[in-house]
Order: sequence, then C-alpha cells, then structure tokens
Amino acid sequence: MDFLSNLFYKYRRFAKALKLYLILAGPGLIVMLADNDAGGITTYAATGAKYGYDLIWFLVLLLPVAYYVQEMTVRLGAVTKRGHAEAIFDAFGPFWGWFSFLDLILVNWLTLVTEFIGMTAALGIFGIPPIITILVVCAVMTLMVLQGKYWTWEKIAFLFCSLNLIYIPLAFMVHPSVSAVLNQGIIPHLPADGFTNALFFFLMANIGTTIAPWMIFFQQSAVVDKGMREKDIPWGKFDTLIGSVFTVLVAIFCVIVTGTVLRGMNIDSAAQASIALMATDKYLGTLLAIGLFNAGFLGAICISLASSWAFGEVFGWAHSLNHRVKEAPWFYASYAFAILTAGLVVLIPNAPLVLITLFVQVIAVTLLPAALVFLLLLLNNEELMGKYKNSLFQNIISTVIIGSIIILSTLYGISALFPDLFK
Amino acid sequence: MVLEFITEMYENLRDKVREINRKYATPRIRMTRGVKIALLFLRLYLILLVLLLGYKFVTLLK
Repeated sequence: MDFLSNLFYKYRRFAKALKLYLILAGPGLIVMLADNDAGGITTYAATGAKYGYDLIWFLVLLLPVAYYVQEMTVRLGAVTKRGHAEAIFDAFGPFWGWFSFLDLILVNWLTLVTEFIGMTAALGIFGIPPIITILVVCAVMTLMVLQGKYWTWEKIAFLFCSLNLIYIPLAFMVHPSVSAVLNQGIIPHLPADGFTNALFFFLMANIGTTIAPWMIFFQQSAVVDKGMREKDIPWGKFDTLIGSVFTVLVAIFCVIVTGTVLRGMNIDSAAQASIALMATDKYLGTLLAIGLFNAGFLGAICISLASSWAFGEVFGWAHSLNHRVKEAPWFYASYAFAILTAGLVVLIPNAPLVLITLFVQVIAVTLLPAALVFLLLLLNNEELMGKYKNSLFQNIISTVIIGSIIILSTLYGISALFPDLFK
Repeated sequence: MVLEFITEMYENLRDKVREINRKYATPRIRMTRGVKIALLFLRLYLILLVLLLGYKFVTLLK
C-alpha cells in the first residue's frame, strides 16, 4: 500500500513538474529548433552526402556549445528584463550599441532572404511558383503575430518545431545500418582521407550553423516578452537543454538520411538533395523537401521577430507580441517591412542570390564575436546579474566555447571570401 | 509634398538617434582591465575584417 501511495505521489509530482515545464517551455526549444533553418539543413545534408556517418560525433560535440551559449541569454533576459540589443547599448554605450544593432538588422535581413530562397526552392520541387510561396508565407507569418498574444505565437511556433523533427522518422525510412551508424559515427575519428581542407571547411560550416547572432538576440528578447522571472531560470535552462538535444538529434538524423542514400554525392543545397532522393524514393524526397520548407519557415519567423524586438528595444517603441497593432505600430511595421522586402528580393529576376548567401556568412562573423563577448562580459557583471552571474566553471566552459566559435566562424567567413583558401 | 515628408522623417530619425545617444552616453559597465582588453580585441578584430573585405573588393575590381 505504501508502495502504491509512494508511486502515486511521485506520479503527481512528475505531472505537476511537466505541467509547469509546458507552461514555461518555449524560447529555448523554439530557438534551438529554428537553428536548424534552411542553411543548417543544407549544411547537414551536404555533410552526410560527403562524409557519411563519419562526422556524427562532431555534431554531438555541438550540443554543449549550443547549450552553454544560449542558457546565458536566459539568465540575462530573466534578470535584467532587457533584450540583448538594449543591454549592449546600456552597458557599452552608443558606439557598440549602434554597431551591434545595425549589424544585426543587416545580417538578419540577409539571412531572411536565404530562408525565403530555401522555402521557394523546396516548394519549387512541387511546381509551386515562388510568388505564391512568398505571398502565402508572408500572410501566415503576419497572421501569427497579429493574434495579439505571445503565448499563442509560441504555441503555433511549436507546431512548426514539431515538423522540424521530420528528419527522425525519415532516417528510419532509409533503413541505415545501426551498427554502421554507431561504429562510424559515435567514436571520434577522421574520415578515411584524413584531415583535408575540405573536411576543415565542413567542420567550420557545422560550427557556423550552430550559433548564429540572431539566436542570442531572439532568445533573450523572447524570455523578456514571455515575462520569465529569476525563479523561472532553472526551467528556462532546462528548456534550452531539451532544445539543444533536439537540434543535435535533427542534425544527426539529417546526416544519417543523406549519408545512407546519397553517400559520395556533392550536395550544394538541400533542395538538390531532395530531388536526388526523389529519384530513389518519391516519398523520401518529398518529405525532405517539406522539411526544408519548414526549416526555412521556422528560421524566418524567429529571425524577423528578433529584428523587430531589437528595433523596439533600441528606439523605445512598444515591442511585445502581447500588444495590438495600434499599441505597437512600429514593432509590427518593422516586422512586415523585413519579411516583405526579403521575399521581394527572391522574386527579382537574376538577383544575386548566391552572393547574398555568401555575404550572410561574412557579415555574420562581424557580429557574432561581438555579441558573444558582450554576453560573457554582461554575465560577469555582479552589479547587473547578482547571484546569477557566471561561476568560475561556467566562465571556463563559456570562454573555451566562445573562443573556439570565434576562431572557427571567422575562418568560415574568410573561406567564404576566399574560397580557394581551404579547398 | 514627398520631399517635405522625407525631410520630416529624416529630422525625426535624427532627433531620435541623438536622444538614444544621450540616454546611453555613459556605459553602465565598469571598465575593468578585462573589459578594456575585450573591447580592444573586438576593435582590432573588426579592423582586420574590414581590411579583408576591402582587399577582396579591390581584387574583385581588378
């Protein structure tokens, strides 16, 4: 009887904790799954096609990288009740404030263009003209923010997040050899041809897709808009951890799909991978294309919001999804302007879309180190963070991670400028 | 009419930027040696990237 009552008590505690988590879950899970955007999926598809399962262990290493960077934004947002753009202005003055803000707006807009490129390419496979894709996407994105509640936006975003997990069943559909995945993927090793320049490029690309500047700004602003307080930090960190696990799982399963079916192919885009998969299995290719569209959409809804939040924070406009259009006209106007112009660029005939994609990588590396260094400095400010400032252990881990990200993402950006350097 | 609108918008924006600059004129963070080194590193890093971008631009033009 004691055993049963104990069991019931534990169940009640678990159910209560789960309910609380479901209320507080959101920013961490959404930002992490949106990290697997159109560019991310393309990188994973290309990695799998080129190296098979050989680099899965490297993707596992990216889990703590993503978690430790993003959990800092949870603490900073919950304690200061400010977004990252405003926090930089406040702590470091107008020079670094304007630099970070303008760079963020530019890199976000360019990334938004690449998300639209991914979405139109994915639906183009099914014969849907780009203009229809752009119009429908812009309409859905606008409706998502116009309903007037952050909570509702978050729950709709969860729907698209769950679609991002499509790569997991997809990997089972290609029947990979489990022993091959475990033997070749889990134990850290180099591919058969050793440490080549091409391998270095792929490692840099995978690091580059793991942490993007918009993620830092998005999660901190989302934590503030959601109204999370200091006492919610443990749940926010747990949410970020769950999100990190999912983002790495999606990356691994995407690599397994292309590593099983397209091994040895040179893939330039996820759309190309979908078409190649369709040749072997119609449903596989179709699901990969749907996944690519969803990845682009998820990236687009988060990136455009990150920009609008930053605009509101810096200019002092009302900037919450809980506000109606009348209450926060500039917040919604900047949002609509960003998505419409980014969509229109994709429709321009002979627009330099490849150049834009390359430009994103270069501009991102001008902002990422600054955003990460500012994050670390702010998290070490006792006056600002109080008992939530970084511990010695967190500082050691974060410094190593941030140092590595800065070096590798810089090399990645340089390789985009000078492609022959690492090939 | 259009010119007036653009001029008014420009002036509003300029005033807003000035107001923001005044509001955040004094950085709140204490400028310890670590913070100064970090900010110096960022400045040098940005100069390096701008030089690389400039070099790429010049070589593209050639």
